[in-house]
Amino acid sequence: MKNINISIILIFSVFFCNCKKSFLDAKPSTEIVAPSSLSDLQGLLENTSILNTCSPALPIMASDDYIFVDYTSWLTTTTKTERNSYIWTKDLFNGENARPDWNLGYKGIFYCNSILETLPKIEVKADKQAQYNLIKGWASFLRAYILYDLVQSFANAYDPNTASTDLGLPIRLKAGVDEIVDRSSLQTTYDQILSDLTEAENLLGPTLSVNGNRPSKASVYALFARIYLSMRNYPMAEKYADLELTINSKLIDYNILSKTATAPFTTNNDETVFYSNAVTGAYNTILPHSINTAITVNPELTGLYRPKDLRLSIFFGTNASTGRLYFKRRNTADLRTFSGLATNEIYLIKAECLARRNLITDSMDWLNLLLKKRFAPVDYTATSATSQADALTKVLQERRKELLFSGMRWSDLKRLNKEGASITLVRTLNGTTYTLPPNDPRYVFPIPDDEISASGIQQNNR
Amino acid sequence: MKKSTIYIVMATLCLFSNVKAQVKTITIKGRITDEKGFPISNATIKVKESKTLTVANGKGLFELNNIQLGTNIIISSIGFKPSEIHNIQTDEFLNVHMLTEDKGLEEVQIVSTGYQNIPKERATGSFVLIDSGLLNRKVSSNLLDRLDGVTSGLIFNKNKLSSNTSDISIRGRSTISSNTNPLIILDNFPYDGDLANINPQDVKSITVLKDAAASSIWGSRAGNGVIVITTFNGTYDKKPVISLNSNISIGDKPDLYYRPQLTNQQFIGIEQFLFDKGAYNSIINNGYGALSPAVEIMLSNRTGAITSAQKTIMLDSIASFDNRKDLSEYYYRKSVNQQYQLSVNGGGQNNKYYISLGYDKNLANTVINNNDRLTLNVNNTTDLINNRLELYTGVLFSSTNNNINGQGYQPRYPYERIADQNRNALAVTDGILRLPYIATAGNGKLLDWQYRPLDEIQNAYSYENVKGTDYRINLGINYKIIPDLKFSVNYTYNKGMIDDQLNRTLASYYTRNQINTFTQISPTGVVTYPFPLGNILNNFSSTYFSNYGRGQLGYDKSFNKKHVISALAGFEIKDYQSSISRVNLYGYDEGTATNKNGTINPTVLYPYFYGASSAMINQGNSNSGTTDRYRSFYANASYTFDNRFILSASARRDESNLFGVSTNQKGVPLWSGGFSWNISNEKFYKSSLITFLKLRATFGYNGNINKSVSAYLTAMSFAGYINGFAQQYLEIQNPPNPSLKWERVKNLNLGVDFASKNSTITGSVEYWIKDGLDLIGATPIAPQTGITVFTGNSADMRGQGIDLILNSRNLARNDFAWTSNFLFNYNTDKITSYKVKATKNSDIVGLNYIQPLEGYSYYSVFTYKWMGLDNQGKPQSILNGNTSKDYVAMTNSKNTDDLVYSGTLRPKYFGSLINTIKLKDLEFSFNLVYKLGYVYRRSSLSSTSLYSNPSGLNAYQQFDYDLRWQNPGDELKTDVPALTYPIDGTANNIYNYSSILIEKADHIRLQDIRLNYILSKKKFSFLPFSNVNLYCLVSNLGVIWRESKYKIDPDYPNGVPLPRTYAVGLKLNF
Repeated sequence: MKNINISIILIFSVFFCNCKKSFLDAKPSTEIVAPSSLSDLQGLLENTSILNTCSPALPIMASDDYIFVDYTSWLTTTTKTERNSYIWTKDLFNGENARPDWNLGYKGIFYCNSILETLPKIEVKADKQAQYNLIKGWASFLRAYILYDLVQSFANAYDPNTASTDLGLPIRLKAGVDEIVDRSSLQTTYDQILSDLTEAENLLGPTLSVNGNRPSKASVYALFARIYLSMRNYPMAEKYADLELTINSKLIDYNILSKTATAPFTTNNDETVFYSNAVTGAYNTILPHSINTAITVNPELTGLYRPKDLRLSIFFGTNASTGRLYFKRRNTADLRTFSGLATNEIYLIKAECLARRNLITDSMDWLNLLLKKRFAPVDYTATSATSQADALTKVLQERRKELLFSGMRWSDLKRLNKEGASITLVRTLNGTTYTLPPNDPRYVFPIPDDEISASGIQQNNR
Repeated sequence: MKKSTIYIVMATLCLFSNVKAQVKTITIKGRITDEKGFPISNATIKVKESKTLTVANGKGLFELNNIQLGTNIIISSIGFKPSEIHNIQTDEFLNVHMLTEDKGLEEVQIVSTGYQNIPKERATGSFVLIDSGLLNRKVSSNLLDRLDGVTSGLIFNKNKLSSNTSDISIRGRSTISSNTNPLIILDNFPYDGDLANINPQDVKSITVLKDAAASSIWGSRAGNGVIVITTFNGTYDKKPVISLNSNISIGDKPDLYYRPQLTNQQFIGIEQFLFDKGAYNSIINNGYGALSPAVEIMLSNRTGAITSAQKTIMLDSIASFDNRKDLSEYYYRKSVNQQYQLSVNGGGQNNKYYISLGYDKNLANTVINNNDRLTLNVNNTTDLINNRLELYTGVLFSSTNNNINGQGYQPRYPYERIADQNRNALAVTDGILRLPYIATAGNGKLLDWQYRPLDEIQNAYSYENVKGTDYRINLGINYKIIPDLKFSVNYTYNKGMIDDQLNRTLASYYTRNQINTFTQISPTGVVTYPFPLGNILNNFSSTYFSNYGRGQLGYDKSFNKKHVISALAGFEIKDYQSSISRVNLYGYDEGTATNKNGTINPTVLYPYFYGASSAMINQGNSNSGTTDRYRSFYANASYTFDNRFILSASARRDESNLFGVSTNQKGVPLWSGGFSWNISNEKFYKSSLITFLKLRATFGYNGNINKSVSAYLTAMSFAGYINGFAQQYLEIQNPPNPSLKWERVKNLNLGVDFASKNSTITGSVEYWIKDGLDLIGATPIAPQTGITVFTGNSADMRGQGIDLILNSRNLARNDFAWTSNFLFNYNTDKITSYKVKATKNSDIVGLNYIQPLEGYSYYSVFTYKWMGLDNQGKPQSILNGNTSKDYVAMTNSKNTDDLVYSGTLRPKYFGSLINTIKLKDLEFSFNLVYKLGYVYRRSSLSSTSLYSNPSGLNAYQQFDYDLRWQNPGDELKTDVPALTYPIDGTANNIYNYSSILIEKADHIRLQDIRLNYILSKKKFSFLPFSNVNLYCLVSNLGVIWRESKYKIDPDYPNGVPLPRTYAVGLKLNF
């Protein structure tokens, strides 16, 4: 009797102890992944619909690459943001929330931070070190790329004299969503971008990946060149342009592209060193397709091309029903506006920096290398410049013709006006003329209201 | 852990040793049997003087210790007349024979929590017991259907709002986005299979646990209430009783006239109108798009192929046919359900057993579709070591077979014909391709492209077969360590498999169409089939298994005349795993079981044969699996003092593998406490009118689970997550949320149980509050974090209500009795906190359940305020307080003041009234079910569906077509807007979501009428069996009163009500 009792108690006790720790660690569904391996993290980085589609569209919509065909088209845009961007209204969003220009960028940064936070927890075997470096470099590169994109929209143009007091952006380096980060100075923001980029430079390999979304050293150099150019640090911009060109200096010969196709480019092409697009979905205004009949290409821009320029027929199509020009697309087969890094931009940076060093012939030589690929051999004539100013003007005009519908124009306007270019943007709509004078505070977009109300960070003064 | 066990055991032993030091008294033992000598288990034995109480075991044996000399005892049991034994003087063994009684209402009810069986009168919580009599009032092969209209506090959700609404709700809703299903317990453990596998005739009783005291023993899964199903087992010392159950029920065809449809003339008129407007021109121009027969005639006239006179004749000819004729003749039929069950129930001195074999065969009300089910239930209980050790073994097995026609049929035109007068199949358009196009497409090189619904219906060219197997093995050991301390171990293994094969043969339209769509014919006439020739076989299989184990110590003791202690503590473990696999085989050949999947390149875009589209041929094969694990500790105790006061307490801690939550947060402790006071047992209580009065109060917490959220960063990937560079990618699903908690439901229950003299009226009233706390909801957060809406424990809601049960014996003469059972429930719910606001009024009107408005019920209906029609027949509503026709602005407005709160989709009041009239052996009863205080949204004319695609499914079924605005001045007579072309979808939505279409749903329906007759050998000695129970039941008799003037069944405002069914059956006991 007693023995039975004891044995029962023992059985009972065994029941209690039987439960191993691992019992409750089972994954509840095979479809759920807690990113914990290198391939999981790489899977997150491969999410191009978030990480490579988050460049703000506001700079494109506020630039002068396009015009609305009439007042009604302007009135019937899907969002107020599109209307207000066009005429640089002070209250840009007019109550519209969840602006992708801000939100998607920070979503991308959240992805990067999640990856960078998980990496140290992964034990890396020797044969996986290369993948580890790729992922860490990739995430660092992306964080720099995205933050730089955001800075172009939501902060002043970089000026070394005021950068330490100018408002920068919240620098988020942790994935935790319970923490709110205040805005840093513009200097700190650029420092962060450059330090992330240096980290990426040390980790990424020199070989260009066939997958345009996967950055390499060439992408890092190209981004460095782009950033230093916008900071007006021309020697550094040229240095990195040179470094990039040692890895990839290929250009697409426009003679081999179809002039009639709606999508003449392939997404994987010779020029692209990092693939990225502006946000899509919310804004139909910048849809690069013939069905977008609300806008047409700014005649002032098309007027800059020489008549035989292949780009006229490759970049633009004529809408059969309206007879108006529409923007097809550039450097991508996707129905999106390309904002990534490509060698054509690097050639232009190189040419600009040479011009700024007063090496006029060299500058024109680099420019001509590019232009040769934009004309049929019979139509090509080399460009030359008579002075430093002439060379610079020619390079910058080519920049505008080459990097259209990408948001680059907006950064250039901010940068060049800072140097006294005195470019005033003018739009006429329904009889009213709107102007955006140089260095106007409206060159900096307001931070969306939902961000301001939820985090209390300081709004831009427009 | 080990320590705590020993502690529990020690503590209970201490209690036990205390008891030994009592004054010498007598011990009464006995055995309780019915008139035939069969033991009556669960009979209650009460000492009259001290109110000491015990319950007879399965063999009818009982034992009362420490009883004073001269005691009187009262013995009572369900279905028997109470019996009293007076002035007991010695330790004696009593043989008590109880006399059967006409089914009364005051019997002691034994409720089950799945952990223990307790007399209801000893409980503080809210239990509802549905015994087999009430369960078998209805005839259905599904068990839960039988709870409808007979269970207090339980409602069947008919007109569902969102997909996250369970079929059944117990005491309303207390979650927003988490699990809404009640927990189902089969005997000891949760049942993970499909309840359709359970044969209702194997079920002895169902206990519904409504409040915290009743259900918190089930912890984190009890938030939506618990339904405990108890199946039959054997009876000790009983000769085998064989019974045969059989019934057949026949259901009408569905009412094809319930939803109005446009007359053929009206419909053709619409088509002519649209034709004249050029609405079909783009389809006509592309050459292949589907056109209706009437439009084909109009086109022939336009091209000059036929004259206008011929056109009129031809249109009149097609207009003479009503599609409901073919539907009724070829597609629908009367449903026939048959049930058979044979069972043997008995036992010897040391064992008892129950064996049953059941077979159900159902023919659905659409042709071909049928299913059958075979169930086997065998269990045996053996007593060993002088009744100290009880071993239980049981097996439940079911096998189901479901045959479905893989191609249903729904006409596209009110005049659609699928058979000619000689019953030959006619081709109709499938809504994609034109008949003249497919007649010539491919010049004979394609497969026959015609869609002939009659062939598909009658031959089942697409044939789906679903086979299910489910079994459950139960093992149990009960060991009495000492007489009052019991140790038990239970184990259950459950396994179920479903194998679903849909074979769309090459003869089926579906397969022919798929193949033709992708077929390529080269200029030289070579035919290639990117979509392989052959059948399409869709295979879906799922398997699950679960292991449950439990170890439990139970202690029951009554001592010192006045004290009864009942306590249990245990440990439980669950491991459930399921897997799903989908395999689609193309070009499948049944004969050789081969397929041609290998010939498909899934990454290539293949052009369609017609038009300019192209598509990939995705095989869509996939596998996935889930794992559910729990580890729980629980304890439960009650203390009864002098049969006047009862204190109860219950606690449980659950730990699960809820994804990513670190171990210390995986667990959730939940508890409850209760108190009851039997006032009528107080000396001061003197009322002769209300002879029994008991007050109950309980409070506690239950939990609820949501597996879609996680505390750690999680990501997800699907087969289709491939980026533009052909790489599989992941998407972040959950941002990290280290503070995630499980949802809790705080319960308060206050109740009164009462009985009048002679139990003429008995019943209970309960008031309850259920507070859903820490509910998973959305909160807006700063977008700089990377997300804009954070899903976490941010929402709260409150439900409250009243459950009333009243049973009365209205009349009782010798051979005649009339009883009524009345159920009344009141319940409301309110979202008390929800952080995200809907972005625009159209979301509140259409989808308020996604981001519910604070201060209103989850089931609220909001509408655009109806301001009548203008003089052009256009709908008008309100924008910022002013009458408006700016439809876009009204739908996008955020000004909620413009909206009308129109009530809720859930009844505020519901219940039923069953009246039973008994004349000798004939019993007649009927059940009236009522639902009050709620609304439904009525369907009306939709110009969008009628004008945008008149041949869309059901587009010709329009309410209020004849009432539409047609001429100026009509706006004074009607609220139905004019049909407008071109379509203004937003205006249409304003009308369809306006307050004018809200109807009161209050109604009373006659759920069923039942007639029962018992023939017994006692009366008719010539009978070869001991008794037979003959019954017939008519169900779904329809609404007998409704508040609204519209003849719409508020349970089915958008569908068709359940057809009436007629059942006859018998239960034979040998």
